[in-house]
Amino acid sequence: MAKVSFNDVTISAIVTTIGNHKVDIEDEQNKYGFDDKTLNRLKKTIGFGSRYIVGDGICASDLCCQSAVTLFDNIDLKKDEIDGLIFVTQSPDYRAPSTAIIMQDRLGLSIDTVAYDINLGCSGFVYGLFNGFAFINCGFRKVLLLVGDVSNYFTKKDKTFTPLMGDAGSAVLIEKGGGNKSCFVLHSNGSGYKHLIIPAGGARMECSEETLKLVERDDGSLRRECDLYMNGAEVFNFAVKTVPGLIEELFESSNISKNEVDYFVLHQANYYILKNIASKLGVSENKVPMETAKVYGNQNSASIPGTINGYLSNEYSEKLLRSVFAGFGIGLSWAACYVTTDNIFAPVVRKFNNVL
Amino acid sequence: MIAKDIVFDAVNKVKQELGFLDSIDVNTKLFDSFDSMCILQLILELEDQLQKKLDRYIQIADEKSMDKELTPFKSVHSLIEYVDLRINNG
Repeated sequence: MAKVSFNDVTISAIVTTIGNHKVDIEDEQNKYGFDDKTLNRLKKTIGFGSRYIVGDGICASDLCCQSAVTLFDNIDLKKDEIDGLIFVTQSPDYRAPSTAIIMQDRLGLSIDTVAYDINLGCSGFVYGLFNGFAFINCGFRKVLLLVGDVSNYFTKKDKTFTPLMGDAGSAVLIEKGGGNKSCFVLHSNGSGYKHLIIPAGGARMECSEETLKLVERDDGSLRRECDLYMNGAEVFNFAVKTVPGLIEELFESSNISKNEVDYFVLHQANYYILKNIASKLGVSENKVPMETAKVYGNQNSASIPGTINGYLSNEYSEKLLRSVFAGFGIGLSWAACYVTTDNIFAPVVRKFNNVL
Repeated sequence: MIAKDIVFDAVNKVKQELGFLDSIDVNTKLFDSFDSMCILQLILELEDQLQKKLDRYIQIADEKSMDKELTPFKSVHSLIEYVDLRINNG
């Protein structure tokens, strides 16, 4: 069953920390061998602009910890009320143990906290929320959801991918309250796993000298076997085919119409895909923010909270809003939810300051 | 036929931007010689031109756009037929 609803569970805070180094696409033009024409069409079609990244040695957990500390400093919250800590990432600190468990200690949470990682990418925020809402539904007092990635971990010199990626880590507080109904629709289809994959580093293909070699691929990009590979055409097909239907399915299962939704905050894959989805749904582009990838880069699982903190901070801080969140990507995995938030703590994105 | 004019204009514009100077006719192959980024650029160009000429948004991209077997972008001819269909049904 992939359709689930919850009553009286809500999000009370969303905080996002982004990389502290801004890189403009023009700065990377020579590095990736883009001529002016190619650069212009990448800007127009994909929305290349700038991105914020971290330096070597900084992990997604560092960005998320900064977001969590900002949240603790600004919310009236007792840490021992946090019964669950979920970290959604594809760039963990170590292959084992779960980084969430390390963060339980790092953030000073109780040893009674349930903590684990979820290995998901662009659909991960909605899946993380689903886990958090389910925790609250079964009696947990508060859940801290952390989502984030640093792109240098899985893409270093791939001209088709690296210049699109930004680094971000978000912290989201989930708790009982609000009195509203939330609905989730979630899907997985492993038949497409090869379209977005890091082939090496697991038991199927262990890391070796061979998998660490940068190899020029058919598409002209430089990629290692332990880097993320994306079949752009297949992922494009997947997104334009699947996401509008996913949201229609959410409307149907939650018994709402598109007119009742204040914002559709979708995974910020690229400009064209978002424009296409908005058109297919027949909703105003004002309700579908699309600028995140152009300014901050594709923030993977953090792109939905990153968009809220990047562009809708005042709205979410000062209003009761009904939102649809939808993520889609690696797996293949896709999910959407309908949630109501009311005057939550949602400050503007902050740059990583490396003081923790 | 408006679809033919729009497709010829759009394909010529994208090819020029890419530095291809050869002329096109209805039999010109597209999908085999364009990468996915070129197809995306062509989709945007077609949608822009349709918006300008018909004053309404007609969506060109769908799940078949990048599908090797089913794509309407196989040739100029198949694309004209597809755009014509989208104009009449869109």
